[in-house]
This record gives sequence, structure tokens and C-alpha cells, in this order.
Amino acid sequence: MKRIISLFCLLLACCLLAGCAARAAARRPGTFALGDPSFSAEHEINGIDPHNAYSGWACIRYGIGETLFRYSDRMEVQPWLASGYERLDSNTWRITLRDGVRFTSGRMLDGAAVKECLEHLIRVHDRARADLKIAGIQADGQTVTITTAEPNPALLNNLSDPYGCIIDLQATTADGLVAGTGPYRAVEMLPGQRLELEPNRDYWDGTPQMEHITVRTISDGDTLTMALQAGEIDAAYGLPFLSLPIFQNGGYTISSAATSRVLFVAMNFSSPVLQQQEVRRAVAMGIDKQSFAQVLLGGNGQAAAGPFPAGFAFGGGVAAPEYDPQAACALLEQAGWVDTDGDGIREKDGQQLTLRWLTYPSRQELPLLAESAQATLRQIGIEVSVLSTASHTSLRADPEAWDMYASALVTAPTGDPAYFFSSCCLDGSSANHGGYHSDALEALAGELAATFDTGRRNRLAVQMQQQILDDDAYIFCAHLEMNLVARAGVTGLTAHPCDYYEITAALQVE
Amino acid sequence: MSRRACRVRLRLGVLLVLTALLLLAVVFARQICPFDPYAHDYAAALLPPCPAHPLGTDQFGRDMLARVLVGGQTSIFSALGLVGVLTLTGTAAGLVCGWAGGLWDTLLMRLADLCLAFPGLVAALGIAALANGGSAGAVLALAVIGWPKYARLVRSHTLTLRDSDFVAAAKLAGESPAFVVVRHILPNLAGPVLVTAALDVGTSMMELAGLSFLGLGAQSPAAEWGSMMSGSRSMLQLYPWVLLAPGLAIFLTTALFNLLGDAVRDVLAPEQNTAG
Amino acid sequence: MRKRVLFPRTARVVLRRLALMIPLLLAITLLSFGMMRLAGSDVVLQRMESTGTVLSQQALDDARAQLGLDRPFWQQYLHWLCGVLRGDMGVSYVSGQEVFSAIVQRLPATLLLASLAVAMTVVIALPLGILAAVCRGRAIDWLLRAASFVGGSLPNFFVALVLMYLFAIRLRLLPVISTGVNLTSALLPALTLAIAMSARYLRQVRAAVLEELARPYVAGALARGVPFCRVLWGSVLRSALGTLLTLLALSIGSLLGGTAIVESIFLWDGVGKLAVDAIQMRDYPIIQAYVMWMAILYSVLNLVTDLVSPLLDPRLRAGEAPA
Repeated sequence: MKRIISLFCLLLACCLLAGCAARAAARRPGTFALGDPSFSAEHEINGIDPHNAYSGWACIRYGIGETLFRYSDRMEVQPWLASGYERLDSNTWRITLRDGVRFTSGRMLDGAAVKECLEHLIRVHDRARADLKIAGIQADGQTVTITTAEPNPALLNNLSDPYGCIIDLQATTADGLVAGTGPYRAVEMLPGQRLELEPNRDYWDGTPQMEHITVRTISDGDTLTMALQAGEIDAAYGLPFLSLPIFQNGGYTISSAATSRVLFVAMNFSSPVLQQQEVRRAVAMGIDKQSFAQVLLGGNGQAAAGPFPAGFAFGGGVAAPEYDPQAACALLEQAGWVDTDGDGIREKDGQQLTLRWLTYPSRQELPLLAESAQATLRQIGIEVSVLSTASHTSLRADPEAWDMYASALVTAPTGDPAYFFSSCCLDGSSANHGGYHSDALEALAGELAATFDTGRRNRLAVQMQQQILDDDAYIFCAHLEMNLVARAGVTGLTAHPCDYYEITAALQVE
Repeated sequence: MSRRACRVRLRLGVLLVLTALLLLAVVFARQICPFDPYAHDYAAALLPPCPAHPLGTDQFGRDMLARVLVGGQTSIFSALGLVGVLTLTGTAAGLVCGWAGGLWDTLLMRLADLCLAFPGLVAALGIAALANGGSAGAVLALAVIGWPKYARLVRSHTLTLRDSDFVAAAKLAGESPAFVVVRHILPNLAGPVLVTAALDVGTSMMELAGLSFLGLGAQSPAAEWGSMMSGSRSMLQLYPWVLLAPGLAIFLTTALFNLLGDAVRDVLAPEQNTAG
Repeated sequence: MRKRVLFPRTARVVLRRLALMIPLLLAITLLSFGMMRLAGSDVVLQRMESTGTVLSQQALDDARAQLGLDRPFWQQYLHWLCGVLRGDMGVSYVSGQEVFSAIVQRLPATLLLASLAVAMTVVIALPLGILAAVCRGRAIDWLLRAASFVGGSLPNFFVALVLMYLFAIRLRLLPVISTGVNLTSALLPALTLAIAMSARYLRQVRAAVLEELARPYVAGALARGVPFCRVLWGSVLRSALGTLLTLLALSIGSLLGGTAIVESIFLWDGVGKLAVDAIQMRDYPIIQAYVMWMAILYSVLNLVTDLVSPLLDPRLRAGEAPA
């Protein structure tokens, strides 16, 4: 018996010793490790080649590639690798390139390189081809002239999408390492696991400070949290919001920005109950967005009015129904919905006021929203039955299967308002699951497509948002914030509303 | 009756009473606990255990004790339902295989191989999607994967029993096969099957929880222990009680059913004396 | 003499079992092919959702046509089957990696984790199970059984997070994220798996030892004056080991199939994580390969168990091999 026990103790001790001996060594100074759940094939990021699916996100996020134009904090387009542009007519744009910019391959950035890169992009990348509508490109020294097949007011916005990263096409290695113009260059990559970066000594806009950067894919939120706590990474992108309070002390800095990723509810216009606008309006007034964003998202989201955050150039200035249970009850009573049998649920013509709420669990905030809405709508006499399932994509195609569909969407990925309306709200929209139609909105959308002036586009976008809200076609609940948490001593790592720029030349560790 | 046998029976009795109490508490949860398990109260969100809320509150400000009790309805009864389905189908299939043998045996055992070798998650996704979400789909999915275990157990016992002296004697006495099965085989199978079933209640609870985490089982806001734990796993460091309350409930239930299984075995097969 | 008789029989059994694998594999791959299509959604929709963007119906249809997802079900299955027969398992819809190399690449990690977890389970469950049996009814027995209930009723993500918190953040002994396929990084995930398995096996070893101790030969040996330790080590332990090995063979199958939750928490790049990601993304070629891997594993392990168990337990040698 004693032999068994001592043998057991010995083995246990061996295991522990092995652990101690191999304890991860403290990292060298001048190095930086970032934990990021998004560098993986599940996010369609298979590497850093911007011409492949969504891999451009990695290219631009980790400071490898840069685009001709970039987004400001208000999502307005500004020159970046370009120094300026001129619109010759509604289909022709002349872009002047910055002088003295070098790819990490050593080649100079000039019109020929940009032409080569963009021509390849529109040949291989379906989404880019459809967005950019490019008919031809001419290069002449430091200028490129782009001709579009039809008027494309959002051309510069779309060129700033991560797929628009300008790379030296001739320098791409066999294992997919591209040469961009950014402050860092990739030296080693295992997609879905890690990416190793070294500084670009010839960077045109400042001096990159870090000797070596490692990006680790950490898809599990709790692992990401603990890796940052244990000091195995210096910063983390996209921590679960429930973990954020752990880092709200002097040891860390949290940078967050409201993105255009919105949690929103689509109304099904073929549902008989929801065809009554009073009911739609009452539902909109019966959801407590403020408590949802403040308490349930722990302040990691902002209550939304329209599809775009108020900080965007085309975001503010829209009015959505406020949370007001009394007014909602009054509306419902006006429409003939009264609780006659005392069970707390309103009826009309013998029919209970029950709504089916379809959503999915893969985005952790959506089930929370469903529960929150269920509880507050119950108080105004509306029963909500929640179906949260991974097969929501097939269910939402069947208009008989649901009344309200809650999902998450990035409404302005390129800082251009037209995208949201054309994908969700118009007759030809592929994601107009609820079958919403408005003549006024169709007319405004036609006008938007032919308008080039940014100020007028923004005003039109506000008008269109108001139209949707006045029709109670959608309820926009909250804009999610993206966060970057870094240990104290890390500077120059700031969250950006477009969710693209992470590692820049400003990154520094003291 | 020996002193030992008395003690074994007494223990079984005590455990049965405890199990009954647990089931009653769960069934009458809403009458026992003063709080509504579904009412939101953001002012009382994430309170640690205190006299008013003995197990604390979750992020919606819901009382954890109330949620754990109500959650037991889903957790315990779907686990019991699953084990019930498993036992019935498994026993039936095993009996056919062991008693009839031949073609039926081969066919059913090949089917069992198919189900055992099929990865559970793939099956669960397919079946649960057919059943359109909800607990029933998850139970069905796990039943499809789980029945062969019982079928094999019952089959091997039936094979042994079929060749035993008392079955041969009963056959010689001219009793019909159905009578022999019901009178002689089934009672002897009850022991091993019941013990396995009791031990499986806990495991089933965990498996159902795993599926509901994938959106294939219980739906929000219905409280269910496993999904209550997995849904709040990020709270482990800051608000551990939100995880510990359902965890404690799973532990107590699993332990209770395991001890019950041990006790049943001791009463049915006294010669083994495996429990303390 | 005996060997000459035994060998052809074993060879026959092996051949028969291997032949049976072919219909099993056909049935199982067809079934999983059908199941994943019943599950709704497909890789094109899943990709769109995970990037939070909207594609036009035309773009969706094009993407489907490119992957051959627009063809009828049986054509897709036949196409896949022909590929497999030619030794081509296809490429992943999501990463574009070759399916065969994707699986093979992850096998070392899965093998290391599985073997370490099994070793830890034996080291924990065997001595503690015997201890509990020998000290039956005493405080230590109750304590061990209570511990095994606790270990058995905790979900593994909970155990993983607690261990991670304890060893990596409080004690700072082990790393949170794996630094590659090595022993240090494997310790915590293996321990997580071993805790749940040990909890189950501890009770089973205890029961097996008690059953063995109650046999007449033990009483006889003790009466003859053989020391208790000799009886315990000699006969009782051997039979307990047999029980444990049969049980472990079943667990090894599920371990080699991957343990998705533990793997993704500890960033352990094994087969299980690959499979779960593939299922969530509806990455059919990977799922098919995974299903085949599990079916082959199951058949082989079953065969090995059936061949080995008569060697451990002489009483089984006379009986027929279980189906």
C-alpha cells in the first residue's frame, strides 16, 4: 500500500517538475505579442494576401499593407498611399500617388505597381470586382487613372477596403507572404495559429519601434483573457465583454470604439400581426436598449437609433422610438389588443399577441438581446417565443417560420452608407428577409446611387434611415464596441471604428 | 435477514426518499422560491450570495436559487427521459439479439456498430435540425447514439442466461419462450441495466448540456443547468457564483443517482457487496 | 501445437473484421453526407455570417457552383466517393488546405494528448481505486468516492478554466497557451481530460477489486497464510488492470477523435477542434474525412480489444468473440 502511494506521489512530482522546468521564458525586450481571435479561416482569413477572401483584414490590421485611401475616425475617406485625387467625369478618376514609398520588397510604389495590383485584384476577387466596377486602369508615372463601367460614387470608399491593400505582386512568396508598404513585414505565417512580423526599416511614415511582433490566434475568449493576465501576450483584441472588468485597473489600458456592427431586428412584413404598424411601433418602444447596452453588454455597446453609430459622418440626426412601456400599451390598446383573460398577454379577436423571435447563438450578444426583449415585451403584454438556432439561415428564408429576426451586421464596412440599404432594405436586396418595401426609400436609393457629393450623400443617408425608422421596418438595438486591451506600458494601440487598423508605426512598449 | 442486508435496504430507502425530495423540490420550484426565475431586475444584477439571494443573482438580476430549481425540471427530466428511452430501446434490441440470434442479431449488431462509430456531434446536428431545435431533438439525437451500449450489455447477459441451467429447466418444463423471457431473463437483467442507467443519469445531463451550448437543446430563457454553466463561463473569475450554483446542482444530482445505482446493485446482487 | 491452431483463427477474425469495415465506411459516409445537408445552411452562408457582411444571391450561387454544391445530392456523394477511391479526399472549403494533410498534420498533437491523458488516468485511477477498495467503508473511501463524484459532474470547460487559472495565473507554473506540440503545453489539457476519466474509472476499479477480493480464492489464500499484499499484487491487481484496460480502449477512441472543447481552450491544434470548426462551418470534405477516421478508429480499436482481452482473462478464451 505504501509503495502505491509513494509511486503515485513520485509521478505527480515528476509532472510538476517538468512543468516548472519548462516554464515559458520571459520574452525579450523589443518584442510584442498580440492575441487575436479573428486571424483564422472561420473569419475567412486564410493568410495575409489581400486578394484572397477576407485575408486583407489581416494584411491591414497587422501593419503589413496599406490602401490608397483610409478612413478617419468619423469614417470619412482620406488620402493614404495616395496624395490626392481628381474626378474627371462621372466615370473617370485620376489618383496621384505619394512619392518615396517603397514596398518591403525594395520596389518603389508607382502607377505601374498599383495598376498591376488592382488589375489582379479585380480578376481574382469577386467582391472587389462587384464593388469597384472598374472598366480600365491606366498608369503614368505617379498617377493612375481609373475608369468605371458605370458611375460609382463609392469608389474611393471601396478602394479603402482591406482588399485594396497595395502589394508588390511580383514579390509574393510561395507560402503566401506578401510585400506591402506598411511599418511591418511578415516573415513567417501559420494561418489560424500565428504570424511573425519584423519592422520595415524603410517605412515612409515614421520608424516602427518593435523588433519583433507575434500575432497569436486565440479563438477562445477565456483563454485570451487568461493569456493576457498571465503576461503571455501584451495585448488582446476582441476580449469577451464579461472579462473587461478584470482589466479595469492601473495594470492595463482599454481602448474601445463603437463600430458599425449593429444588433438589429428585422420585422417580417408577411406576418399578419406585424402588418399593423401599431404593433411594430409598440415592439420598438418595448425594448429597453439603454439597459441592454449598459447592464447586459456591460457598457461594451452603445444603444443604437439607426444602422450607423452616431460618431459616423452619416450616423447622427435620426430619431428612433424611445423605450416607453406606457405609450406602447396605449398604442396596442388603440389597435384593439387588450388582455381580456387576465393572463398578462393581450388578445384581439381571440388571437394571442405572440411573436416568434428568430436568432442564433454564435454571437454571444444575440441570445442576451432575445432574453432582454422577451422580458420587457412581456411587461407590455406581448409574448415572445425565442428560437435561437444555428440553422437560422434556412429558417429565415421561410417567411412563415418567424415574425422577428435578430442578427448582427457590419452596416458600413467601407464607410459608405449605400451598402446597408442596398443589401437589406430594397426590393432587390438579398438580405431583405422581412420583405420590407417603401416607394419613398426606393426613390431615395436611386438618388443616392447617382450622387457624388459626400455632404449630399450623407444627408440622403440620414433621410433614408429616418424613412426605415418611421416605417418601423427595423429596430436597431445596439452598436457593438471593439476593444483592444493592452498591458500598461504599451502605447500607440488604439481601437478604430472601422475595425481595420491595429498595429501601426506608433506602437511602442516601454 | 442479516444485519448487513438490513443496512443495505435502509440505505436504499434513505436514498429513495432523498431522490423523491429532490424531484418534488424541482417540480414545485415556483411554489418554493419567492423569486420569479424569469423576472429581470437590473438593479439587482450580479449580486453575490446574500440572505435575500442565497445563491446570488445573474446578469439579468434573476435569483440563482430560483433558476437552479426551475432549471432542474429541464435538466433532470430530460436526462431521465433520455435514460428511459435508452434503457427501453437498448433492452429490447439486446433481448432480440441475444435470444433470437441469427439474422436479427447480425443486423442489429451491425446497426449498433454504425451508431457507435458515427461521431456524435455530426449526428446531433443532423437530428436536432430535423426536430427543429428544442430539448426533444437533443434527447432523440443522444438516444440514437447511445442505445447500442445497452443493447450490447443486455445481449451479453442474455447469451449467458440463455445457456444457464434454470432457463434450460424452464424450457424442459414446457414454458413458452415469451414466458421464459419475461419470467426468467428480464428479472435477471434488471440489476445490470438499472445500475448502468443510474450511473448514466449524470452523464446524460452533461451531454445534453453540451448540445444546448451549440444551440441544439434547451432554449433561452428556459433555465437548464448545463447551459447555465457554459453560457456564463466567462464569469468564472469575477462572478463565480453564477457558475457554481448550477455546478453544485449537477454535482448533487449526479452523486445522488450514482449512490442510488450502487444501492440498487447491492440490494439486487447482495453477494457482490461492492458498496461500503 | 496450440499456437498453430490459434494463429489461423486470429487471422481469419482479422480478415473478416477488415472486410466488414467496407460496408460500414460506405454506410457511415453516406449517412454523414445526408445528415450535414439536413442540418441546414452551408459553407457559403456560414462564411457570410462569420464576416458579418451580405452577399448578393448571384454571388452566393456562384460560390456554390464553384464548390459543386448546386448539384444533386447523389452526384455530390458519388463525386466525393470517386475522389476517395482515387486517393483524393478533396480540399477544405474554408482553408483551401488538402483534407488528408490537414488531418495528418494534427495527428501528432492528438496522439500526444490522448496518450498523456490515458497515462495520467492510469496513474490516478488505479492506485486510488485500489486504495478505496482496500479501505472500504472507512473515511478515505468516502472521501475518494466524493471526489470522484465531484470530478465526474464538472463540465470539462470548467475544469480547464479552473486549472488554467490555478496553474498559469496564480502559481505561474505552466503556460496558458500552448507553445507547440510539447510535454509542457500538453500537461494542463491532459490533466483536464484525466480528471473526468479518473473520476469514472476510480469507481470502476474499486468495484472490480472488491469483486475480486470477495472471491473464494482470496479467502483461501489468506487462510493459507499468504500475505495480503501478495494476494493484492499478484491476482487481484491483474484482474483490476484487465477491467481498466477494456474501459480505456473505449475512451482512447473518443480521445483520438479529439476533445474539441479542451483543445480549443488550450489552443491545442488537434483533430477534435478541426472537426468542430468544420461542422460549424459546414466544411463537408473535412467532416467526411473526420467521420471516416472515427469509423476506422472504432473498428480497429474494437478488433484489438477483442484480440487482447482473452490474453488478459483466461476465462474469456473459451468463449466466442463478441460481435
